[in-house]
Parts: sequence; C-alpha cells; structure tokens
Amino acid sequence: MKAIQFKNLKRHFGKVKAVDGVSLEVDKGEIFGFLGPNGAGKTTTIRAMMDFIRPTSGSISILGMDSAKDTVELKSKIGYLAPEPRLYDNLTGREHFQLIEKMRGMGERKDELISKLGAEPNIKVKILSTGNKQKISLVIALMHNPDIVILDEPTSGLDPLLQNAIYEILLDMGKEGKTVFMSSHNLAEVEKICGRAAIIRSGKLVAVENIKKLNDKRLYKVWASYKNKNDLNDLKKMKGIEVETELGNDIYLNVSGKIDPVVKYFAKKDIDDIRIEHAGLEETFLNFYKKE
Amino acid sequence: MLAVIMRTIKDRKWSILVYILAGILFVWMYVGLFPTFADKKDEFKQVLDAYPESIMETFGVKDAAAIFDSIENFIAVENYTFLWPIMLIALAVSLGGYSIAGEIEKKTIETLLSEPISRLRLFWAKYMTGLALILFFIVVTVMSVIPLCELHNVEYNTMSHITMLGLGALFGWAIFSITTLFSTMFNERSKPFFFSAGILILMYALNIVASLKDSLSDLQYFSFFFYFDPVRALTEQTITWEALLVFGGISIVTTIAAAIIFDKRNITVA
Repeated sequence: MKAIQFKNLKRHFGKVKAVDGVSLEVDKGEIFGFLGPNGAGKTTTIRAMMDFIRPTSGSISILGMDSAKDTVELKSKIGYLAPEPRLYDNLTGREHFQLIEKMRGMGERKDELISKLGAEPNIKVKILSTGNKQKISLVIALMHNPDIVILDEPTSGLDPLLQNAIYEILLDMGKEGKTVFMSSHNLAEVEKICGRAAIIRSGKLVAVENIKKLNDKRLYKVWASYKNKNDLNDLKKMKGIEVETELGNDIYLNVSGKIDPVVKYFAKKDIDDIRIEHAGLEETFLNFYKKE
Repeated sequence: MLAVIMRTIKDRKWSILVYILAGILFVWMYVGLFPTFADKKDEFKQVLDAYPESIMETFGVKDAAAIFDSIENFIAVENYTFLWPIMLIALAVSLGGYSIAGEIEKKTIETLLSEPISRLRLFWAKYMTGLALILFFIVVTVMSVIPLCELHNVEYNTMSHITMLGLGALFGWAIFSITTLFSTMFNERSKPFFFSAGILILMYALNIVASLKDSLSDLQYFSFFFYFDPVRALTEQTITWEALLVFGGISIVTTIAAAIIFDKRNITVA
C-alpha cells in the first residue's frame, strides 16, 4: 500500500485549471518534495489532500483511505503545516496546544519539539514574530507523532537556523518511517532532505525524479576568456549550449547535458582562461522547465 | 466539539458580559423611571394622543392610554420595540457572521479543519455556541426585569416576561440562523453582516410602509417586525402561531441549509 496516491487528480476553478490530471505515488517512509513555482498548483493539491477543497475529478488516497470520505480518520494520522501560521492571535502557544489536545489527545512529542525548535509557548501569538509563530504551528503539526506529515512551504520566510532545525526534525521523522510530503519552490531545501521530488507546472506534473537523478541533469556554467571571437562560432552551434552573455572577450555559457565535448572544444582553442562550475539545482530546474 | 465551544465562549466572554450589562442597565433605567411616569400618566397620555395613530402603531403602540398602566406595557413600548431588538440583532449578526466566515477570514478555519473532527460537528459546535450566547443574553436581559421590579417595588407579571423571553428567543434564533447561512457562504465576515443587516433594514422598512398605507398593508407579512410583537407578548402573554411558524420555520430551514453548504463547500483561505 502506498502512503499517498493521486489518480488523475483535477481541480478546476471555472476556466482555471489549478491542478490538471496529476497522478503520483509516494511510498511509506519517503520524504517527498513537491516542487513548482508560485501558482503551479502545489497549494491546491495539498488543500485537496486535506479535504479543504474537493477534487473536480480524480481521487486522492492516503494510507489506503480516501482523502474526502475518510477525512476524519485520516486527520488523526496527518500532521499539517500551512504555508503561513493559522493561529488565534489572542491565545498563547500553550493554549493552542491545549485546544488541539482536547480534540485529538495528548501531544506526545510536544515538549521535545518545543525544546528542539526553541518555541515560545507562553507568549500570546499576536506578539510573536513570523518565525516564532511558525515554530508554534510546527509543534501543533508534529506533536501527535503523525504517520503522514504534509507541509506547504514549511520554511518560507524563515531564517537559515530555523530552516535547518526543521530539516533535522523532518529527517529524523523520515528515519522513524514517517512519510513526509512537502511542497516547496526552494530546490535547495528539497535537495537537502528529500529522496524524490515531483515537479508541477501550470497544474500538470512535469516529472517525478529521484533527487540524485535530478542532480545528474546537471547544468554547467562556463566562463571563458578568448583571444579571437571568430574562433567560437562553431561552439554556438553545438547541442546543449546556450550563450548567456558576451562581454568583450569573455563569454558566459550554460551547458546542459555532458560537459565533455565542450572541454574538448576549448582544449583545441587559443583561450586565456576558463572556469567550469555546476549550476545550482534551481538553475537546473529552471532550465528544465524552459525546455518543457 | 466541547473544546471548540469552550474556546468560542472564552473568546467572547468579555464582550458578551459588557453587552449584557448594558442591556440590564437599560432595563434598570426603564424600571426605575416607571413609577415617575405612572404617577404622571394623564399628562403623558395627553402628549401621546397628539401623535397620529399610524405613527404610534409604527412603534408598536396600539393604545397610547395603556402605556403607563403597567410595567409590561411601558417596557414593551420603551425597550422592546426599538432598543432591545437592535441590541439583539447586532449580537446575533455579529455572532453568526463570525462563526464561520470570521474563522475563514482569519484563516484559523484551517487549524480546526486539520483536526479529526467532521465539518458537521464543527458547524454544530460553532452554531450551538452562538445560539447559547444569544439565549444567555435574552434570558438575562429579559428576566432581569423581575429582580429590578422587586428592587423598585413595581408590580409585575412573571408570565408576561416568560412569554417575551420566548418571543425574543424565536426572533434571535431566526436572525442568527440567517446570518449563519450567509456566514457559510462567504469568506469575509463583513458580507454576512451586510446581507443580514440589509435584509432586516428592508423588513423594517416594509413594516413601516405597510402600517402607513392601507393598500400596501400586505407587505407586513414579509417583515419579521410584524411577527415580533412585544406588546402582545407582554400584555396578552401570547405569541402568535404565525410568529412561531415564521421564526421557527426560517430558523430550521436556514440552519439545515447552512450545515449542508458548510459540509459541501470548498474552503480556500487567501
């Protein structure tokens, strides 16, 4: 049984196809990234998983249960984190924990999470910073030790220290066999903690990749300083080469695919200097997008 | 469910208590003033007799001479035909509007919907809390007249005030249910406020127009203010069957509709 399964999920708002035929499977114990730029359909998909909105067609199965029909039972097994805190201003963090505990029992990991995140549970939410509010929200989402964790942009707008604390908690949950499904437009964080990632664009699934394989689709950034401009005409015609800019005798290239032909090409040319480096996963992703 | 009920009550406790206190103070003022008015009732009757009959009827006064005969007549005209209904309407619209649309507007609805409780249970928790707070307001403000009459040595009829309690409860229930229906349809709490307030203002206008012109008198049947008759409730100890059917029927229908809409709708917080 898969932990999460989408079958031809569609969610249309009139003519806007927010999610358009997404099929996807996530195994138990996976930390799965759901990548895409703003407006790609990530939040709509997650809202359908949480039964806040109902699919136009298709289905979502979580732990073998239907996300809409079995929503009450499922939510006792799901920890959910919204993209920004959804808290009551006039309550403290601890009062929030008590409210949730009255609905679903004692939060067994509450104290551990408060300590790990350095949350401030005794201050009214309205005077907490965004980061501190997000800490309270995380404790709420994870304190019941859920089997499935669904996170919508969990580190958006947070400082790097808090981001790392969250990554550590999620990695630990992965080691404990929990399934983590997190949306993000930050490829670097997905690269850090996810085993696989799906890429969604304009409501459609573009790819589902192992993070290592995604890394194999490396994009290279090449800078070369050459002596004779005419020497490089052949280079521009080569497959996978895109000239980013040319400044005087310097040329900046994006090379997708294998770097070997480019290295061999420059080896035969009269150049002053050359630098080749891996592009970040983000640029790789954007390059990937552009071609689709 | 109890957690949501208690949370909502805690959130609202101070505003409700202040509101109830204001309601009691108004009742106290009228009970305190009544002996003075009763002593000079002949002079006041002369003043009131000078007003056109239709104007007096608009404000629920069918017999100007009787206003100062009892605390029930006096308070029916002075408190229950204008001020108290406005307070009740404001409270019912506020609680109904906040119950669902307010949670959506503040985005906290996602926190509640993330928990293992069904939407219907959540709806009933919100609905029953709002209704309980409204009933609390009605019971305390209506029945406060009895200890206040004791305090000022004013004679009273307990049954009259119990009847008024019933009429007020029906009226408040209907307004709260209508507003809750709008609350389940919108994402901002201002919209249920405006829709409910708009409907009630229209009903109030219809009632006035109907009482001023005979040819338009049938319009009164479309107004809650025709069925909400505190003078009859307090002086005759009766609530008409029409009032019972209209307020009860509308409350039940709109509540069921609200529950179905909330259970079925998509909830997207911005």
